[in-house]
This record gives sequence, C-alpha cells and structure tokens, in this order.
Amino acid sequence: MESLNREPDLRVRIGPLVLPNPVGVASGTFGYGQEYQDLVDIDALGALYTKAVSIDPKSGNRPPRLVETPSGLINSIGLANPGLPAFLDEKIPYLQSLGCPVVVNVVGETESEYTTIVEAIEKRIGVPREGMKGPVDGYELNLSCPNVEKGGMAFGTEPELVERITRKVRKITRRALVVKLSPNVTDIAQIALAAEAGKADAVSCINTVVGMAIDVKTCKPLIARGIGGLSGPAIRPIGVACVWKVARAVRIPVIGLGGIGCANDALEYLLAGASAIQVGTAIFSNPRAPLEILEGVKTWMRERGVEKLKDIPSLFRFPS
Amino acid sequence: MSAVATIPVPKLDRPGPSPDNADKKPMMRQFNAPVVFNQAVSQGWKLLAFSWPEGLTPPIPGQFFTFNPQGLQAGEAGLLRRPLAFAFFGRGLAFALYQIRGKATQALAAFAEGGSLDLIAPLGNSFPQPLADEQVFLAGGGIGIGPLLYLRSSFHGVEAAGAGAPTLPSRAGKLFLGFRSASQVPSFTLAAERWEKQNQDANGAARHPKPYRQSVLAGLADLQHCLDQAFIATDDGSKGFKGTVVDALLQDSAQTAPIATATRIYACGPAPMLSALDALALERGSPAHLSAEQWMACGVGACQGCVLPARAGGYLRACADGPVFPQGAILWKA
Repeated sequence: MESLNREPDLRVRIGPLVLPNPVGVASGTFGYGQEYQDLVDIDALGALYTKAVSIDPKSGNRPPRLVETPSGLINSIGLANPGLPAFLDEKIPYLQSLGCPVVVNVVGETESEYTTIVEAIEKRIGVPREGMKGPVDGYELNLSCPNVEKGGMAFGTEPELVERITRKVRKITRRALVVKLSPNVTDIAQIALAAEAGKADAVSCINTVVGMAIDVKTCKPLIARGIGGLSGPAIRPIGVACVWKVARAVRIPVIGLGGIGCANDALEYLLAGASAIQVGTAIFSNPRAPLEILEGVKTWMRERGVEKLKDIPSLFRFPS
Repeated sequence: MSAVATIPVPKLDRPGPSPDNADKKPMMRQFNAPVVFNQAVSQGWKLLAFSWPEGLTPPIPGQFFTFNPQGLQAGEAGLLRRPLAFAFFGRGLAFALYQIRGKATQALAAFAEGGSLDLIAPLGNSFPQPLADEQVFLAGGGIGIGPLLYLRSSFHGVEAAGAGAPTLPSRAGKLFLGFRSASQVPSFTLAAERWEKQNQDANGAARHPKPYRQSVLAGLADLQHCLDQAFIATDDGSKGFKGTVVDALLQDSAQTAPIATATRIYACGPAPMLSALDALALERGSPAHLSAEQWMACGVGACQGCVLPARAGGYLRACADGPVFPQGAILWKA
C-alpha cells in the first residue's frame, strides 16, 4: 500500500447536502451548539445534529436521569427541549452563525407533528439556495427515542409508519432528510428499507439501546423512569452490526453511531458500510473527541493510501 | 430624587459577581492542569491543588470544574467526567476538597503530584457577594464545606492577609461546618507538615523544592485560617456542637436574637440540609444561595442530565442554571 501525500477527500454526500467530513456530533449530546462553543471548534465538524425539537416545550423526565454502567451510560432525559417557537426565535440565529452543516433532530407525538415542525422551520428559513449554507441544512427524524411514552420509538418499530412519516416530510423539504433508527427492533434492515422507500436521503443508526440498572441497596432502579437508553462503548458492537446489516440492505448512505470514542471506533463503522459517523457520549468525557477522531481517520487514510473516504467500505475484507 | 441621598447605599465588598450579574459566566476551557498537591487532610478526604492556566479567568466561589478520571477504563466507571467544587484560589493555584467515595475519586486520590489532569473549568454560576450591611451565615455540610471555605476567604482578601491576619469583624460571616465526626474535620496544617516532610531526605535536609511550594503552603494556611474561624458541628458530638449544621445555626441565631440586621444565607451540602435552610430563609425573609450536588454527564449545560425539580415547575440544570440556586428555586428532596 502506498501512502498518500495529499489530503484525502473526506467529503460525504447526503442527498443534496455535502458534509465537509464524516464526523458529526450526535443529537442530544451537543445541545444546539452554544453550550460547547468555548470548548470545540464547531465550524470544523462534519455536521451538528441538534438536540431534538418538539412542537411544545418539554421539561423532560424526573431525575435521576443518568447512570453510568460498565462502559456505558443509561439516560432518560425525555427529550427536554424549549419547543418549536423558541427554537425558531432563539436557536436559529445562532445556528445561522455556524460554519458546519446543521441537521435538526425532529420528534413528534403524532405523525402530523413531524410535518408541522419541518414546515415551520422551512417557512422560517426559506428555500435552500445552491451552494449556500443555511441555518438548517437537513432534518433527522427521531423515530426511535426509548424515553417517551408517545412518539419516538413507537413510530420507529413499524415499517409502514416509518415510510409514511418519511414520505410526508419529504414532500415539504428539499433539504437533506435522515431517518434515525432504533436497534430495539426485530429487523433493523426492514425499517431502513421503509425509510428508503419513503425517500429519505440517509438513515442514521443506532439510537440508544433500551437498558436498566438497579440499586440493590435501595431495591430501586437507578434512574427514575426505570428503563432508559444505553449509549457509550457498551453498545458499539451492536451499532457496528446494525450498520453492516443496514448498509447491505439499502442504497442510501448510512450514518453510523453508537459508542464511537476514537478513530479506530469510527473506522469500524466506516468499514462496516457507514458513509459518515456521529460521536455522542464520548463528547461528555472529551469534548475534543470528534476532531481528534477526524484527525485519526485522516492519518489512517494517508498511511494506507486511501484517497477518498467513500472508498473505505470497499476495503472491508469479509465475504458478503 | 433628592431623598435617595439620605438612604445609605449598600456597597459591594469588592468587585465580583453581585446578585445582579451572577449570570455572566467567563469562558470555560479544557486544559491539562499540572497537579502540585494531592494529599489527605482527614479520614477519607483529600485536597487537590493544580496550577491555573494563564489567560483563563480564575474561578469564583460556587463554581466547579470537571475532571477526567484518567487511569480508569470506561468499563470501570471511567466513562464520564466528575464534577468538583473549588475550595480556594490564590497565587495561581486552584484548590478542591474531595471525599474518596467511588472509583473515580479513588483514581483521583491515586493521581501523583507532578502529573497533568484533564480538566474543564470554570463551570457553573457562583455565590453572589453579600451586601455590606448584611449579617452573613455560611453553612457547609460534609464535603460541601469546600465552596463555603472559598466564599469565606473571598470576603476578606485572605489571600493578601494570609494566616495571622487580624481578627475578622463579625459581619465577615458566621461559618458553620458540619461533619459526621471529628475524624472528618480536615487539618490543612497537618497536611502541610506531612507534605513538607516528604520534601526532606533522611537527614532532614531539604531536597529540590517542589514547584509552587510557597503558593501551596500559603493556600493551605489560608484554608486553615478560614476553618479556624468556623463553628464546628458533628453528628456524633465528637467535636464541637452535637447535631447538624442546621441545628447549630438555629441555636446560634436564637442566642443572638432578635436579628436587627438583614441576613443572607449561603450553603452547600446534602439535600436535607439545603431543604431545611431553604425553609428557614423563607421563614425569615432572608435571601439564600444554596449550592446543589448532582450527577452530571456533560457539565456544560448540553445533556440535561443533572436537573433538579424547580418549584416553579419543570427542571433546572445543576451544571448550567446552578449549582447555586436562590431560595425557593428548587424542590429539594428532603
């Protein structure tokens, strides 16, 4: 293998959107960006996937909301967010100032809430112009949150519903449309195919894995709601397997996430078939992780003479 | 508005956050801090000191930092950073008091002086400074005494005066500190002596001086000076008042009653203590500033994991809306 002298081509196409590099920050771990602006060069990220936006403000679940488990974190935040009107008025101006692509994570309790939110954002920001970065460059439909009663995962487990919601949202936006998939299903590839049939530009997988931890002293669960969503290194092998299955099933790009903390973790996902990745829980322990991962992926590519990021999946040596 | 001139205008003791500008937060940074001191100060408690980066706004009382429990793998509770409150700042060094409770604090306790610790600081809001005409009560419970020691030191320019400063006037604030038992009460003087001995060879001659030696010793002296001013309460009565820090405060204020002047309460400690002081402050119509402890993931306001139930409904983030909350803001879990 020949090493590469020039900078590798890291661009990733997600429908109409070109990400400058494959490393994004996962929804729910980075707020709407502002919280990390002192610590991270946000403009250098491949993409920022925002905290979920719902129509009404959500105060979230009662605490405790977090517990660390071996190599993992169980959270039960409950999609706490300021709601659509506050997002439009207070968050959009800040997102406009960012140099990286912004993908807004959208969550609804009913099918129509997904379209209402996307419609309202589209109305506020207008039609995308060629080559212009808007305050919002795409949407990630959260059809897979395990921490709310209604919506979220309830939609993400039914292929017909996933296809229908995706199709409805597709009709109201020309921006990139990503569907986030849950691993808490029998066959994740079926759900991915449904998103593709609904004309999604990409799927992202995986959302958190349903988990529970119990305090044997108090005989109570360690988070107030009992079950929550497990993230972190503990779920990485699940995520890699899901990406591998999904990437074989669909033709649209797959965005891999779940327990990525270093460049090698990201490369596992890329070899398994991911076109891009997201870093989540690792940001909590090291806000520099996403950009360190980006550097590590570049180094790996240079050392192996890989010119283009999109060539990485073809290097996976495994009969398919 | 000529009448205004006859009313005494309360003045701040010194520039710093006032009740009005406590929300203005300085920039935070992630940095590798050289650890210059990491020694036991009482049974199960240690004091950490690290040098502060140039150009970064120093922490103010009530603020905290998070550390990465280096040396721990993710599989052994090393996944998340841990928050610690500042217990003192002076001469370029930041100090934090911590209790060895779980794997992350065990890892911190084993961290060698001279190494570099991955920190994010300064984080959170702070205690507003009192007004000049207020009688101030400070209450710290358990490991929550750290931020109160720092707050107390900030009232009087202890940094400049150092140990042996003249006796402080009563309005400097009555400091009440509660512990399980006498064995928990720190001695910064003994810690300094032990640390100095480590710096000597077998013949008692001084080895190469430790970096920041003078600054560490001066900081320890200042902390001891603050602690010496404190009214101590222990649950088992093995030192000072037998009972909780709230009982001690109540007893003291009953003796000095009636309270003619306006009072202000500052506290950090377990939730039942904060709950009791919140109720006491309400009853007396005193402003109170209560610092909460909570599990955190991000520490910067992004993840919404560390919330506390707000009295007004919804939740407040301990890391970014706090950790210091005004009286009446939180529904404390008593």
